[in-house]
Amino acid sequence: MRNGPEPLLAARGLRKTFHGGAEPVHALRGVSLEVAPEEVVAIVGPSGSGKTTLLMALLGWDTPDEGEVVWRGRALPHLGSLGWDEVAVAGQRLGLVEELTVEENVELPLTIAGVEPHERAERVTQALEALALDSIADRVPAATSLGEQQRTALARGLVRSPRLLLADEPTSHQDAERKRLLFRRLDDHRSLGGSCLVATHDPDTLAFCDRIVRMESGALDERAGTAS
Amino acid sequence: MRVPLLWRLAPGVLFRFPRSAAAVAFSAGVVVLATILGPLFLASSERASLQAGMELTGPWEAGLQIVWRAYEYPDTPEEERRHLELAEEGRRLLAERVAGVPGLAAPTVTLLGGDGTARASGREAAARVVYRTRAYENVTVVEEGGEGVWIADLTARALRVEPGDTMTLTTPSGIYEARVGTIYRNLRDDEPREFWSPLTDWIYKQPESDAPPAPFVLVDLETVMDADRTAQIRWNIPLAGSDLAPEVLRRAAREFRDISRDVGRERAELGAALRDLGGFAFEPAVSTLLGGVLGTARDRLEASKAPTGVVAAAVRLLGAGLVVAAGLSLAARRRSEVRALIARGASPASLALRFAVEGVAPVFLGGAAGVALGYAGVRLAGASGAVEWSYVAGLADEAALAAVATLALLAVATGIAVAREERSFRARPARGRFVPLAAAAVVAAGGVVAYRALESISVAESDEPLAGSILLAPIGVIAAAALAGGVALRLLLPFVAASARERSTGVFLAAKRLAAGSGMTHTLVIVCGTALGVMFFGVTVASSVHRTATAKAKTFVGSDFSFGVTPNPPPLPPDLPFPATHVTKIQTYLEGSAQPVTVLGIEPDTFAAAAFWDDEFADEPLDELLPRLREADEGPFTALAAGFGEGAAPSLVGTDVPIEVVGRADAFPGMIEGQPLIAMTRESARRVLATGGSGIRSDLIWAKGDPEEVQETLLAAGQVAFEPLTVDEVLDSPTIQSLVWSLGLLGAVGALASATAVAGLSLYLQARHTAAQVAAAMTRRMGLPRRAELLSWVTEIGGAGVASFAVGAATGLVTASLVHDRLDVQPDLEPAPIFVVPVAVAALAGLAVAAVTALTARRLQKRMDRAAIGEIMRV
Repeated sequence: MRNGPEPLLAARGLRKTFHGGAEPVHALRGVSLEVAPEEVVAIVGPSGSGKTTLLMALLGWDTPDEGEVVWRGRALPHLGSLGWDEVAVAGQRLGLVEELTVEENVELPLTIAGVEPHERAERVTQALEALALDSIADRVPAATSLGEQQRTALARGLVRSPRLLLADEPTSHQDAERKRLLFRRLDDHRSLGGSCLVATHDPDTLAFCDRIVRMESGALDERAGTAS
Repeated sequence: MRVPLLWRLAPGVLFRFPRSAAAVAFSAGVVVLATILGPLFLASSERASLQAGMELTGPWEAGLQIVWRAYEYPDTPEEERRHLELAEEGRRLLAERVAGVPGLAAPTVTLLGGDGTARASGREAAARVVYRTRAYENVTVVEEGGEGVWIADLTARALRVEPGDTMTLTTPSGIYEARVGTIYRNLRDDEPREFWSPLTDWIYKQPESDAPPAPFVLVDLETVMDADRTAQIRWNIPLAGSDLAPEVLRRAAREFRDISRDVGRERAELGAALRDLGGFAFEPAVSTLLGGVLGTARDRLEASKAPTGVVAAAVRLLGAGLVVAAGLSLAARRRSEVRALIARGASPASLALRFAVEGVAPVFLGGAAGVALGYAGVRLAGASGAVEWSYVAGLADEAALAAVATLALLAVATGIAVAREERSFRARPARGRFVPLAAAAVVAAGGVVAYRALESISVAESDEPLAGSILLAPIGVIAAAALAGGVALRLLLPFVAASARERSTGVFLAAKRLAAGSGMTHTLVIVCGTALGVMFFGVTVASSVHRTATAKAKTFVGSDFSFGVTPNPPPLPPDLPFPATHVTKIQTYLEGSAQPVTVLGIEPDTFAAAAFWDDEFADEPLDELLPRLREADEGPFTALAAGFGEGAAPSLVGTDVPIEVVGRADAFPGMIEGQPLIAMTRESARRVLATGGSGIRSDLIWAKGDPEEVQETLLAAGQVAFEPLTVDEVLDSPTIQSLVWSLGLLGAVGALASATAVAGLSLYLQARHTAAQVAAAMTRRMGLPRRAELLSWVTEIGGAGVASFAVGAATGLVTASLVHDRLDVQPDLEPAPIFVVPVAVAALAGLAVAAVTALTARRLQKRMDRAAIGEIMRV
């Protein structure tokens, strides 16, 4: 646990055990974690350590067996009930709507929120340009590369400037140049007051993060992170 | 050689995937069903036609009758002896000839005497001497009295004789004293027996005769020549029953043909023997109605063959489509396994072959179910329920061949799927859009050809069997129009999406999914549209043809049925429980021309209730036209003129009384093909003849209800009503029946194909959404409300369904409207072809589409609610 201002998100004692196989799998063993405003936190750990499960449990896509999630001082079952402007997601499975173009996918959270068309257009243009997606804006995801799809998902996650972005391996398909673009965009997000919780293996991402927490067999081993 | 494990397990593997096994079995069942459906239906139709024909004729009249017409009668005892020998020996020879021939019963011989009289106690009664094999076994005995001739109770009452009394018979050959042996119930008053049907004309009163025929005096063979030497010899070979199998009847007909030929030839054994026995001039007259019965059945069969073939081909096409879909789905379901095997070096051909081996058991099980279903279907819905199982078993070869073809098609479909998988696996470039475009061009060209064929469709003035183009051309036009509709939909959807973007996110997403969806969605919409179009076309044209034919038949008959009655019948009782009216029909000519015309004398008070009337017949309602008819002993006839040109003033040949036309109609009940009609009161019609008019007059009763009940009631009311002419009899035309059946079946096939295609569309969209659950979960996270989500799915599924429905209804109804008036079997008979829009079918189809939409959308949302997104995200 770290000391500081009131955390944006605090997860306390999250436990999750899967019983599908011969032996129960303890995916989360009482995980507690805090993310402060304007903070980028990285979760690292080997495959199967529980990183994605932690993100899913926070979102409510996996129901924790035990534990508590506190959002801006308010206890919630999970973050699933919060709007895209509060908590957005860019998962490892991107979940882009394959019939929509890149631009429409990025615009979708704004369309659903009923944002005015001109404001929508402005924000989408900025989002696309920031991640070098403007040249492929009218393509459907299947006609783009995996890296472009990943950036599309990230642009969609950030388009409503959420307080917290949950991202799972957001740079796994990016080259060095695109990673820089991506970090710049996350930095902008942070500078605007946004936070980010990133599950990653990527050393470049770790270097960018404010703080790093390590997961091992479903348990958290927190240590101080380094600022980029 | 050791067979690898994968191959050894293959025959049973598919049962581990019950849905895939069921899909393969179902598709095989449809293919096999389509293969046997045509022959089964035709067999059923032929059987039904033969049954109807046999019921009408009976086993005796359909049997063979040989009448020995002698120019000279036996004059001496020797000639009499030889005559009797001829009768009995002829019967024996014929019995030998037909022994063992299936479907033929033992022959009889009849010696039918001429008109004569019987006298006793100073009384006289008409009598006819008859000998017939087994005659005594086929009458109802009233009073027995030992040796002697058998007389009818009617004769006994007339002569006041009893068994043991003597009477004198006067016949064309002389006088014969006979002892009355037994009294039997007069055949005319007894329950009708098939046995006597060859002698119907000598038992029952004929319409042209004033008196009933003389009752029979039944004698034995030894006596008949003494009583009446002029008795005519008649041999009958009856059929063994009315319900004989078609092949038995055909065999019997061949035998009859051979016997007929041999009887007429002096050098044939039978002919020579009969001539040798006869020994005097003769001319054998041979007759049978069996040829006519078989000929009618054959005509009906020929009329049904082409449309049945087309319908069977349509079902087969549907089955082939299902096999391909089952194959593609099977390969898709086992994609991981396919990819693993490809990685281990398996070729698409070997995998396709393995899929085919896996399919053997389900295909043959499905095929067997198809055979059973076909048999049950024809028993339940066919023209006749009596298709023998042996006939179905005879189709086993064809069914097995269809099953093998199904396996081959399954191999091709899975092979294509595997090859595509291999291509994507090895990252080979996909082919361009040439194939769909070429297919579209071929279908469009086919549509043009089909439309040209559609324009040439006609069944009027033709007794030819129905051409397959009657069904094939519309299907082609519908398919091409559905394709065009599908393309138009694809072009339209982006605009729908753009306009919905600011109004409803749900509709926007649905329109985008439909617009940008894979080719499969559009293909399914086109397939659904075509299937629905075929259904609408079949049902619409079948209903229109039937309604038109019924209206024409009712116009021709005048009502539901028409009885002939004796001239000047007594008035109908006022309290009849059914609508009935008297009419007088006079067939005559118009003055100064050879144009035949019908003069219809009617009773205005009862006519409207009993006669068939369609509001299309005249601009004015019948209730307004009828009161204008007046009865008058002098002055012009007030009449309604039907089928005359506007302003025409008809006058009738022979009478100089003018006709005052007080109303006009295009058609009128009682109209005959190609003849105008003049309706007036019955009194006026009688005046036509009384004032010099000429023509053939017939008096009729038109009535509605059950013909038998009506006839009984009329007889009880003192009206002598002959056999009725019913609308069903007029409708009993092979062309009409064949048209209505073929089109109705096409509609049923269309409905089946529609149900399959709509179900396929629903399942495909469900599968697509299941694969896109992460995107749906993300969209929910973005804040899309549940109602908007449901609306999105309803719009997408319903949109595809509504598009299919709209395309199908529009193409089906438009094509039907182009065709229905070309299928007017009786163009010269009023009314003009009626177009029936099948509102109930449309409503049902619409409801079905709505129900499938609602259920699918609800199911998708429930599935989404239950989806383990966390697990999916971790994969």
